[in-house]
Amino acid sequence: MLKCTGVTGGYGKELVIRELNFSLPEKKTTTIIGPNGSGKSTLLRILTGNLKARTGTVSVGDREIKTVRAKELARMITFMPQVSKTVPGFTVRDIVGYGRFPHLKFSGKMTPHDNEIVDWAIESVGLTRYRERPANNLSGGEFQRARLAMAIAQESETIILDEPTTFLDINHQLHVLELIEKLKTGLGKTVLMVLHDINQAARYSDNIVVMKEGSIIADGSPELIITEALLKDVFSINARVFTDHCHGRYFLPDSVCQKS
Amino acid sequence: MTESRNRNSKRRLLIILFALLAVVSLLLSLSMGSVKISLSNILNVLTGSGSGIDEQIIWNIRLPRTVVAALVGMSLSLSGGILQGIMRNPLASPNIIGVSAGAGFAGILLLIAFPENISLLVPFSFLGAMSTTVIIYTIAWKGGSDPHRLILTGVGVSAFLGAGIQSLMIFFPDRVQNVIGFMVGGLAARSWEHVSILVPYAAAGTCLALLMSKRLNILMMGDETAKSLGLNVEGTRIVLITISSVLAAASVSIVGLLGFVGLIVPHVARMFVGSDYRYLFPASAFIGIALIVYCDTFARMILDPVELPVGVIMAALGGPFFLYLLRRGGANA
Repeated sequence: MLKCTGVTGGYGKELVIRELNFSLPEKKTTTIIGPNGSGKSTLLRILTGNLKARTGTVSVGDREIKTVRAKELARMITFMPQVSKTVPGFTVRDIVGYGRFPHLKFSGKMTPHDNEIVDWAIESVGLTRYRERPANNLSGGEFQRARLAMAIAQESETIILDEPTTFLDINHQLHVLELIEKLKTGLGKTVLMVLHDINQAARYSDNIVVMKEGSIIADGSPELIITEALLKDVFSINARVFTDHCHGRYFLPDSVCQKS
Repeated sequence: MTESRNRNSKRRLLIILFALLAVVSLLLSLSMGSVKISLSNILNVLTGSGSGIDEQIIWNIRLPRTVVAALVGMSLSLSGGILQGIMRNPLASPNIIGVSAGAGFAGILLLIAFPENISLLVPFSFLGAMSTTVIIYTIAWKGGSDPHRLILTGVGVSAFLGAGIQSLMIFFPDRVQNVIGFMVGGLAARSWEHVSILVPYAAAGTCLALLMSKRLNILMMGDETAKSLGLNVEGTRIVLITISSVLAAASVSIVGLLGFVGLIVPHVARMFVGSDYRYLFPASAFIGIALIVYCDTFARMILDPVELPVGVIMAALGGPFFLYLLRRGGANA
């Protein structure tokens, strides 16, 4: 299980998250929500070893992640950052193939087994016919699916995604979220992601973590978390919250709260 | 799968073509000059059955010079290709990590202040180049080595050393004559001694670059993605910068400040074989050999018997190509 205890971290002199404790539930989808600057991405970067915690510990299983070698960590945790560079000329297959890097020896030579996994990963995101297409010629949604295929090819237990639907139209957002749901239901992965759309978070998550000013202020199922009081307190919006058996918990905003 | 195989076969075919182009350039370089030597005579000399003046010319003059040109062309091209990948910037070249400024400052300091020690020019400028890279990397380090910070630090340090070079030239105007050849870069009178200095660096650097090509591909996808894939980003970057610096430092210490080779060649190669370094490195190496050997042959022939420094020809080609890159939006990439 991935967890952090008493973690403080930030950039330069600025502390973004303070004394934070968090455990990621296994084989569930957990989504972090919170206003801009609340420390969501910083927490993800600390959990994945991309940013060193100033204090506290981050551990996976019974080992601190700073003691785990980079390739071994990559076989345990996959991190899909918000932005990834597209390299002109790299095909979908090239990119997804790099997902096998943590499993390869120093020479980097792929075995037939690695190639099978790459083809399967591409197929599972529905990009088989774009396999040989340069990734920089894909639409935003298709590129994001290629990145998900790379994450699938990495074959780690835990997949962490920072705003995977940013810059996508609503159709592609839903497509990507359906694929992420398949990671859990179809492949038994543990998923942690950051989303800005609270209704999507409620629809696609088993567990929601709410962050504000560098701290976790609520953690639980969407039904428990998405309340009118929380939306007002955390996002400063007046809203009405509804529940139905088809869509689960969702809200409609009334207005931005007037600050006194 | 067939499509992928076709693409890879096409790239391999292009690399073979560039290799042939390089071989032709080498033969042409051995053949052309004040004394023309036929292909059959060249082959005789190379296989040990030649004799007379042709053998003297080839073994003692043209072959070492051509081999130096080939090694320098290959080394500078690989060095530039590595840096463009690490910095994710199409305009990166060995100048960026201070190799030229460092070698230039050290070399010119020696030529101007201690002209009696001219035999130390090669090791002195090599040390200048390598230590400048270390200084730039150290200054740019701030909890990690951000490529943008590296580039800007390189520009700053190079400007500072450039001021040093200019000051030396102003304070010692009577000794500037020594310096010009080194600053422009040339291959005249390069011997087997120079070949033996270059070979270990060029061979080790080329092998290591080829070995690191997949890692460089991954690095180009961004630090966070690379790290998530299990790549030791900082370690890989340090190794690659060291390889690049050694390749370029060895070259400029032998032939002087040859501009633009490291910038031009990787771009030309990229246009043909794409950005995948497993193909880009061999393609760059062969194009680098061909380009510099053709340019040197041209530089020897165009005003025969006067010889132009190859650096002048390279810069004349490099300048317009640089402008072409700017027009294509390379500077904004």
